[in-house]
Formats: sequence, C-alpha cells, structure tokens
Amino acid sequence: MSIQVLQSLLDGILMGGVYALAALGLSLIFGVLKITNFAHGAMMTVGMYVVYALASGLGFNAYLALPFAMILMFVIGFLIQRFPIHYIEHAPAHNQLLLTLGMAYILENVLLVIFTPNYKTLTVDGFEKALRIGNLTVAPAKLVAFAVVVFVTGCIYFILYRTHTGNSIRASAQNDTGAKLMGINVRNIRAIAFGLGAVCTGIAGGLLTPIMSIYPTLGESFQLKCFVIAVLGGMGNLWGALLSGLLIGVIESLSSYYLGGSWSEMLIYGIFILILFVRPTGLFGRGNRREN
Amino acid sequence: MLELNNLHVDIGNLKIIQGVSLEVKSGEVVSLMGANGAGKTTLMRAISGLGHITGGKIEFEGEDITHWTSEKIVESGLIQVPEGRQLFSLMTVRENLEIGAHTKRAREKLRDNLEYVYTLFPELKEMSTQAAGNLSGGQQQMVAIGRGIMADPKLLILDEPSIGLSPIMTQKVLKAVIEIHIKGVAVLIAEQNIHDVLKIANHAYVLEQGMIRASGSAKEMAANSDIKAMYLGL
Repeated sequence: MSIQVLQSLLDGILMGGVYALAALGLSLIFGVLKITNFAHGAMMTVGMYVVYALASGLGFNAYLALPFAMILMFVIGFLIQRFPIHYIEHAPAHNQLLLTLGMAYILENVLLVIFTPNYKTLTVDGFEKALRIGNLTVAPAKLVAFAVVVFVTGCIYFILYRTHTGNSIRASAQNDTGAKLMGINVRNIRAIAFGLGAVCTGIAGGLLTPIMSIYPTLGESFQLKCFVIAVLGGMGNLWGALLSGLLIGVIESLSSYYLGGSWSEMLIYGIFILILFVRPTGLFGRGNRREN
Repeated sequence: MLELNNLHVDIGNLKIIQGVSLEVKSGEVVSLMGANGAGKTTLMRAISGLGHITGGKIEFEGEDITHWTSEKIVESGLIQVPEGRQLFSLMTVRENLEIGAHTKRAREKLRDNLEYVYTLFPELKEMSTQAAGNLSGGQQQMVAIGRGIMADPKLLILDEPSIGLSPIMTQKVLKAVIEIHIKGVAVLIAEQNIHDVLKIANHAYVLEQGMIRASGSAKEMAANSDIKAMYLGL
C-alpha cells in the first residue's frame, strides 16, 4: 500500500468520524420520532457559526466554544420538537418532510442575514501546523475533531444505555405504546431525543469550523451525506450509523485521491443506490421488525 | 375503585365507544367480553389515557381521571398489560421488567416486585438476559404481565392476555392472573376464553358495538343462555 493510500485512509477515517456523529444524531431522532430531520444539515451549520461567532467575535478558543454550541443546540432541538414537530407527529410523511425542510431554510436564511453569504474561516492558535506521523501528515484540527467525536459518542452511549432517561428513550423508540403504558412521558422523551440529536449536529458542525471555510448553505451537502449514512446504517441503528459514517468518509477520501474531488460525491451516491438495491434496509438494517 | 360513567370514545370520526358505564370494585376480577371489533381495546386504551374521550367520566379511587395523561394514570396505580404485549423487543427481559418500574412509586418497590415476578414466572429469571423479541409468544406474554406487575398496580387491566397462546400457556397466564388477584390487585380482563375467565371473575360485562349489552355476576352470565349462545358456542 502506498503512502498516499494510507494518507487518504487516515483522512477519511478522521472526517468520517465527524460525519458519523452527525448521522448518529439523525438516526437517533428517526429512531424515537420516526421523522427524518431534513433540518439536520442546517443545524450543523448553526453549530459551525456558533463556534465561529464565539471564537472570532468574543475571542473564545474554538474548542472551548464547543460546550456552548452543545447547550444551545440542545435547547434549540428541544424547542423545535416541542413546538412545530410535536404537531405533525401523526401527519403524512410528506408534510413532515416539508416542515423539517422549511426549518432548514429558515435557519439558513437567519444565518445569511446575520453572517452574510461570505465564506468565513477560523484558525485556532497553535493548530495551524500539520503534524507529521512517520510519513503521514495530519491537520491537528482533524485529530482533535476525531478525539472529541469518540468522547461525545461515548457520552451519548452512556446516556442511552446507563441512565434512566436513556432507558426511557430506547423504550420509546422501540415501542411507543408500551412506553406510554409504563408511565413514560413520551412527549418529553421525544423532545430530549431531538435535543440530543441536535447536540450531535452542534458538535459535528463546531468541529468542522476550524477545518473548512463555512458559509450559510454549507449544511445542504451534509444533510444528504448524513441521510445516506443513516440509511446505510439502518435508520434508527446507532452502531450502523457510526460504521457507515466511517465508511463514507473513507470512500470519499479514497475516491478524491484516485478519481478527483468531483467524482467522490458521484461515487458515494452511486454506491448508496447500489447497496439499497441489494439491501433495502441498509448495510446494518434490522429490517422492518417492529411492533404494531 | 374504577368507575366508568356514560363514556364516549372516538377514533378519528368514528364513534367507537358510545356510552359505556361499568364498575370494578376493589379486589374484584371483572371480565369484559365481546366479539372482535366490539370496542374492548378502544375502551381499555381510553381508560389508560390513550383514547380520544368525547364524553362521560372515568373515576379511579374517587378521583376524576378522565383527562389525565397516561403517565399520571400509571403513577396512580392503574396499569395496563396491552393487547399485542407491546414489549421493548430489542431490550432484554430484565430491562423490560425494570422499565415497568418507571414511576417513582414503583421504583421504590423494584426489588420486591422483581422477586415476585420471578416467583410467578421462574422462566423469566433464566431468560433475563435474552432480548424480549426473541422469546416465544407465551414467554413474551409473561414478560408483559411481569412488566405490568413491576409498575405496582392497584388495578391491572389485561387486554387479551392469552390470544394466540397454546392451551398450556393460556392456563399458565390465567393462573398468574388468579395469583395477582389473590395478592389483592383488582383486575379488569378481556379474554377470549370466556369459559375459563368466568370461573375466576366476579362480574362480567358484554360489550357490543360500543355499548354494554349485558352485565351481571359471573355466575349469572355463565348461566345466561343468550350469552352462552353468543360467546360460548354452546
């Protein structure tokens, strides 16, 4: 294996981790609410701008701004579920799609008004210089991003599998009626789940701010990427989302190395469509085994 | 203990329950009978706060619970083991049981109730680490009833607990209902095996097209020739 292949693999895994976290949020939201959040990419962009604003406006270190992005996104997510989404829970799927897509455009346009469409870049002091590991080079911001993703994913798993609230979230995802009849306040649980999904976008977005130039409509490409990753992983399957995220990251970086950047998206969606032909429930999908 | 007064419940535009009154006294077993589509499940879901109630009143232990949320109703000790079991199929048996003890009141008694469930259904202890979705129908029904017990019921509603089960499993489930009843829990049960259920019930109601068609003591009902003809196939 040439050094370039290793280099692309490394880049792919590091970026894939960030995609994985964002897609994990999408899959979690779908698992509990049975709604695909088409505002996911836009929420990521909000996370990016929160970090950008705190860092460039108030002089925060970009990484210290992350916890603020996280808390803010939780509140935004909680409120988005409580106010508009709660009222379309039983609406037909296309209405739900329009509502979350509409939210995406609202968020994007708010960002356009506040930050203008100009590209913004953020450099973090002490993180500009690429690190050399043997013959490989790594941007420190990507390494930090991956480390944070691992940590945050661990926290989310801890919440879901080791806390009372987490058990209630999983129970509501698996059987809504059963959960209600056991006294779980499913309405609250849905809002918390949406808030947690939003936290994933806030952190994933915030981590990308020091890595790429940002602009208000940047989220659109991530929206589709998250959706593809979540579907490949099997909607609602969190481990599946994580693995697919890494996979898409690697495919993206290998294909841009071998075929050029413009090919990589084509390849990702091409592979996605092919996989859906063979396995309609995704690579790690459980199928439609669900109660009632 | 539980009193329904002229209850009306809709599903969409359809009036499913049209003026049902019934009573479950403390410590009683009450059987709700009726053909498929009579509205038994709709009625039971409405009692647990999962129905669109358009008229009438539900009282539980003297409190008007007609418009309470399901979580508040569960907290008050009115617990339902629903039709189709509605388990958390990817979670283990143990996790399912623990979620049964979700409310504050039930959590305090988690240890005692878990032990009671395991004495009632010793199989569940052996299967405690298996995913609930991988169990047989009968075993799943035990988990569902066990989960209901974990919620520490004062009144337990059982909606078709033996549906689709083998005769042996059915007997096991009905035996468990008797045990629960002996422990002092009131029971409202919809059950296809009318013959068996009338043996353990105090009172019975027949629901037809959303209305109570007949009611009386279980003995009277078992002797009533109309009822026999309609529901016992005799």
